[in-house]
Amino acid sequence: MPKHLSFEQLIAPIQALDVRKTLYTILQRFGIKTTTWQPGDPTRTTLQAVSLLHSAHTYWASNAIRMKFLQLAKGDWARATAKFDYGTEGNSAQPAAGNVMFANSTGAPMVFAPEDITIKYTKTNADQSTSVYTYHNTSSLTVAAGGSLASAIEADSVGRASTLPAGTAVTLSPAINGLTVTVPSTLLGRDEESIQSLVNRAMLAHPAASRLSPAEVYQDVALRVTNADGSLICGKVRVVPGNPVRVLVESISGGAIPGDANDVNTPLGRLNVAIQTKAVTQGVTAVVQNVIILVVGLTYTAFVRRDSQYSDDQVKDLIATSLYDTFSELPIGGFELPTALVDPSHLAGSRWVFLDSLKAAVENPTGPDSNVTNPVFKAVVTTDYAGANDLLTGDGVQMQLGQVNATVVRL
Amino acid sequence: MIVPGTPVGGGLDFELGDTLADPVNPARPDVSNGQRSISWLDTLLGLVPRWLKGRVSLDPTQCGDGYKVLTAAGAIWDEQELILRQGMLASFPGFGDDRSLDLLGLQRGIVRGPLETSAAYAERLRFWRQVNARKGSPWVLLEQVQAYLAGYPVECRLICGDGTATSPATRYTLAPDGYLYHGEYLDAPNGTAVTDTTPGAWDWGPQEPGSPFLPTSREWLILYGHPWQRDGLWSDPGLWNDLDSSDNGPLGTPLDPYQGQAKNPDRTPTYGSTAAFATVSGLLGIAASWVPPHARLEQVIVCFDRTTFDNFQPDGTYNLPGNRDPNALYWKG
Repeated sequence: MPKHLSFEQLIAPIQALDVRKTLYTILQRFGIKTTTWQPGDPTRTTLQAVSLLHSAHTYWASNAIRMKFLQLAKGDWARATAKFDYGTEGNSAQPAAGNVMFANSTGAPMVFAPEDITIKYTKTNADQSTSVYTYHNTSSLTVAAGGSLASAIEADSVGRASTLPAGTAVTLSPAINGLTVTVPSTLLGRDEESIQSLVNRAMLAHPAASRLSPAEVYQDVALRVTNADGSLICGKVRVVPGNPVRVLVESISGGAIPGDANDVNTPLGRLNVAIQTKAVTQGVTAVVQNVIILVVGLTYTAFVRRDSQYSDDQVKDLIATSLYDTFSELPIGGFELPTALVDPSHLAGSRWVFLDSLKAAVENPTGPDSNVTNPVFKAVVTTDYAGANDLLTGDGVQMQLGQVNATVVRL
Repeated sequence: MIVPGTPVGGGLDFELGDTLADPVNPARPDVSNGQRSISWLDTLLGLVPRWLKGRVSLDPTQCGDGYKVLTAAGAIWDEQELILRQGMLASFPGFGDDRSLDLLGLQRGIVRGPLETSAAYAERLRFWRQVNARKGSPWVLLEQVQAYLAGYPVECRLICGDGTATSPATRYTLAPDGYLYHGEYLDAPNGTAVTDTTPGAWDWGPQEPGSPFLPTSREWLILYGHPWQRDGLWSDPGLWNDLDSSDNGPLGTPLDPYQGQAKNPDRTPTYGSTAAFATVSGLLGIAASWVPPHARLEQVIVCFDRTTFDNFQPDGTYNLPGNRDPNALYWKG
């Protein structure tokens, strides 16, 4: 009878040492005294080489077997399955983008065409070296005399490194007399899409084939719509049940999607047309709505072990990255408590961002499973929105990280 | 076989003479006439010159050292072929074990019933594309609910629309054995949408104020033929789920046949019936997943007495719990 292996046995690679032990066990059964082999013995050396080769092959085989199980597939194997079985490709790294505030202190209006303004952000790294990131305005703007205006900019580089933190001091390069720029909310750059995110999107693909408007079709269509240049428009979507169905959308860089839902020449209009033509079925209406951005400032005190090898700046850097990740992963509208957990301060149907999740981001800046390397052992976190309480949000509200006041205390 | 991480000698069940029969079809006739089928080992031994193998004997311990070393090396490659072969096949529903089925079910969006057999679940997973392509249809919701409750002849009925005079409710009924006609239904072939001819035949009551749904988007799921029983009233003495306390356990013996299975070990009871909390959660989860966002599943109605329930149609006040048919239990969707 054939041997039937358990699934765990099928997907586990085998280390070279285990292969060698197996080879030796077989040979001992055959009566060969492997213990008499000296180092350098041709047979022993050959079997070691065979063990290494075989082990390497089991790693390859393990990945090949895992490939068809999206929850287990790794790296390019997962990307291949997502692409060829589910028609879903991973999103490339995205530049930080969003609105900053331009202020004109002169007595005359200032008019700029797209890419007229270059903003320079000099970031001091944890090792005290500096990195310079530049950003350009993406649309025409006129800043009235003595006035200010929020307008969109985009980083010239991609990835999380291009993130522009709220409240950061930036300069214009070259300087424009009388024009200053402030950053009211964090502009997030995104790295290449994670495998987990890609898998989650891939799993929407087949329900989205239905012409009967299940929730997945709205999500799938929204997340695939592109601008004329092929760039993605929507990074996050939430479907609120009802008729009309409300499709709440957020831009790929974490803010409102520019444009007008009724103007097909704008990104929001393109998205709306796609939803109406590809997702909505007879008898159903849907409205596409931008998220409402709520900028939340955060203050924390992180208590760090005195003997930690991380400098204070490195700790702050880690925490900043952790907070960016946490905020960028917040679902639109936050979370609704399960009925069983509703209490007088969290009423049924209300939606929340929990302070504990922000505290966890500060207390575990090196990840949830890194107790040994985590320099932070406790943190006190408050927000300018709700103090030391959970943050009440709403259906279409998307919280963005505002200015962070950080204190590191060594104990 | 090679068990990863196993110490020397432990777990090794490789034996000379193991056949590498087809794992897909163990019953396949042994075309090798009782001999081991061609394998990496055979190929390896066939490729090398005779002098390298040394003496060949039916007793492996009497063979030459070259033969023994080559046999060991070939054997592990045969083992690896077995792993690769079964591993690749495991991604096809029905060829792997339950763990692979669970993973396939997760990525294909098909939930397994607590009593559903592996074969039946594998069959459903093979048609996942077709099922997903109909997601949003009342029939697909009924199919998924019925499959989840496999093991009992559960009949599922979905009523769509709140049955006002201007928009009569539509009833979809899925019989236990599929889309078959049942005499007690309205005089139409089962499997077709049956529009109530009498406006008001299904008149639940008004929607909650401010509901974003259209009256025609309201849905009710009715279950007949399920294995659950009434579990008394709130005022009854004893504990919930206490119909059978012969084991003197604090919760009594679970009376939900879907409960206590390997897939559903939670013993938490519910109030009003013998249905277990985990079973109800699973059922409502399926409903939430398969009802489209433009519709709202108002209630899942667990019917204990079909005759009285079918005769006792909602009278427009069922939104008030006190006015509902006592021969049924109501779970908010």
